[in-house]
Amino acid sequence: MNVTESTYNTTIVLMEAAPYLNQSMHTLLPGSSHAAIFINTPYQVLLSLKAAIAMQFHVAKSSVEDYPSFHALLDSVEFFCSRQAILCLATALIINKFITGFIVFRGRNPRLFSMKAWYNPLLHLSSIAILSYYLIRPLRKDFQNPELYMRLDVTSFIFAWSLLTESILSLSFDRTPLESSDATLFELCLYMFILKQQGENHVSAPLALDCMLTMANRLLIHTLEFFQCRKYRLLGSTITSLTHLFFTVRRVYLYKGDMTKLSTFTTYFPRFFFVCVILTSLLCYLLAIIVRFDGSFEHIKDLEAFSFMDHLISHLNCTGEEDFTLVAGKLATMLCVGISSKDGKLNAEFSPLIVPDKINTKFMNNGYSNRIKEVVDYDETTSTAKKMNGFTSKHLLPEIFGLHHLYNFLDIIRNYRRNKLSHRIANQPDITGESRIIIDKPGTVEQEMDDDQLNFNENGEEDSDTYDYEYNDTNMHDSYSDSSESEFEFEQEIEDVVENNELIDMCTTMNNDDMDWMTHLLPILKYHYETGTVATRSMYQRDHNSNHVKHNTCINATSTDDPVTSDDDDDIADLSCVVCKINPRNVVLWPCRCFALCNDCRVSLAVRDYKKCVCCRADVHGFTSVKVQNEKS
Amino acid sequence: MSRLLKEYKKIQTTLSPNSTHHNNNDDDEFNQIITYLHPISTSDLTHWQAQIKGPQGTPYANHEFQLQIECPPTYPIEPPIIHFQPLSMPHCNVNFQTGAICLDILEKQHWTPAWNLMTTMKAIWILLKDPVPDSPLNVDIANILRVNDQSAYNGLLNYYLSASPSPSTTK
Repeated sequence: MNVTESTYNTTIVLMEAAPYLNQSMHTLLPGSSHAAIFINTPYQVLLSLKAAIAMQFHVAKSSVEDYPSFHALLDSVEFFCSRQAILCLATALIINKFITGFIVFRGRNPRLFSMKAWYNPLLHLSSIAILSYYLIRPLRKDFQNPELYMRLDVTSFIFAWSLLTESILSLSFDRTPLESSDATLFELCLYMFILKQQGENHVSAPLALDCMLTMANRLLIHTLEFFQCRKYRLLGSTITSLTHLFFTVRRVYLYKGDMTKLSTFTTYFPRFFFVCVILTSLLCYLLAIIVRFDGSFEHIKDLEAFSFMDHLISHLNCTGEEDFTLVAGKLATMLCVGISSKDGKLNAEFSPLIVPDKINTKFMNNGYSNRIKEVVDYDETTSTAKKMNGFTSKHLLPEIFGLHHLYNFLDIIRNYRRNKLSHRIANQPDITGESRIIIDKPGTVEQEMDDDQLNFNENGEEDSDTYDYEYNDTNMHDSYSDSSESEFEFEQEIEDVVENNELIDMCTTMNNDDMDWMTHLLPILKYHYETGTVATRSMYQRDHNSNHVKHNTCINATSTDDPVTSDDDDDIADLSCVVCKINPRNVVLWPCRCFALCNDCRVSLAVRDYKKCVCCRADVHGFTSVKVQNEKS
Repeated sequence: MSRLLKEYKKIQTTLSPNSTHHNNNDDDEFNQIITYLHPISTSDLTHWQAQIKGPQGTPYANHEFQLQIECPPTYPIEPPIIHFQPLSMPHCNVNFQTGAICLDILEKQHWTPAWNLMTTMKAIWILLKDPVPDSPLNVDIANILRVNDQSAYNGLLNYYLSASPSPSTTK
């Protein structure tokens, strides 16, 4: 009993000597129940520990005032232990791990979590409200010294909240989150920390202005997202940045002569310089126009900068992805380097193209022929991609001489149609894959087996037997496989007009095996007959329930092209860039639309001053990054 | 370097004589053109040697020609440096003494990284098929070609080809 009492006495003495150890008034749970004690005691111990460490730290810091470098080191240690730094870490963790992970998870199970449309305005509005409150308050009270009224801790929390809401919303609606380049959360927290340290001493007054600019830009982003008009981003950020620059310049003017205060403004030099370069260039251009002006604007086109100015909008990324600082920097660089609009185009990035699932195989670089016609929608992409799988695996490499097979094939078709060879039923699929049905009556039905085979697969009827598969297998391996596949690209027409009688004739004269084959063909022939015109594959697809057709096609295509794909494992992976063969292709060149490069190779080619497409030698005007989810990887 | 490694793999599957991969016209074509194409030592993929067959219907038919290929470190951004075996190739676009080839795609301006060693071999083979006397490295042969003296052309080439120590004659 004595021991306990003496321990208690010592504790009391200790508490009086070092008041920071007494944290007993801090409680997490009120009352004196067992649960409250169980929770409060460790909490109080932790608080005491923290207070002790903090005090030791401050003692240590004050003892080394004479050593500035050591002092600075302790300062940075203090920052990393401060509330702001921990907030940074937490936000970064939430954005990087939880949100992204959640979005990926949601992408896999889209039905489980559907983002309600009203989340968007609600969350943005909350951010807008707190941001504008934050911004207006200091402005109203004292315009000259807004930093006095900054609630320092709150600022970083507001910023973090704004970042979080924005990234959640953008990612869940499959858009890139907008980011302002003025200050990251980390920088902002650092500013806050410095401001807090300096307290009333206003050496770094521009920091407060910086914070306000950053907040203004966040407000801008939220407002734009709220009204869904991203394209005005550049305009808005230009206004805020220029205002900020104006105030900064004004302060520089106020502080003239005071070198220590002026030195804090060096960080604004690049931005100031960009604006100067742009203004000077514009002025020169206008001056040149005025000098050249002689009643008409014809001569202006001779100016060297004309084409650049003419294409100014296309050079700048005005989609709202980038804000003033980035765009001004780019523009200034372009003006200084003196790129006219005709060259250096491997460096000119156009707005990004987002291909949602797997890239359409029409994007593939196939010799000289295969270029992007349009960005197809999600549904079509998947089905065509799968349908073309066999085709892809052979044509991915830039087969520079590969095209003549296609022409050979087209020639064969043409010759064949011209000659109208024989007039009897001979529908055994021969090994060359060019089997024909020819009917007694002259010039009535001629079918390229290859055309029809495609329709087999798309045929919505039940394909219970394995005929198609076998047929495809032989076809894939024969010498004409190239040509039979290349027609995917060409949407060839089936130019048959079939009379009803002939249809029946055909069916009746077939033996059993042929009948089997006929049942597959029948709906198509019927369709020809019903429409009475030349029916194309797309028409057929449109008029029949296309989903069913697509579904069947996918099944057939995936099962039948297996032998081919297993042959060339190299070629499947050949969404790889044609130059390095390592990275996946993710750059489309304009205007030739060749999809053959990865971004690394584009950069290394641009550095070496390549101006032409690596595949087709067309002049390159620019490129676009494509996001491709590689299903194989 | 990994690009060369991948090309090597691809070449091996395409050109292997007993491969089952000959389901493809292109593979067949490459097999008809190239006898072999491999790095001189497997530890160094920058130096290669190749042998291509003379195209039918030309004086080069039934002859085979050796090529030395050197890939610069910047390959495939820059073209490989390709030479015929010196003193073995009478052709109006080939320097007979050194074996240097005058072919636009082997120059930096006209090369594109989308080409690879096999397609380059094919381009050289096509050059054998269709000589371009307008940009000659062997002026004598080019002059004969320009005046379109077929018999002189064939005779001269046959003389050269039978005299030179072509690998096919030693076979």
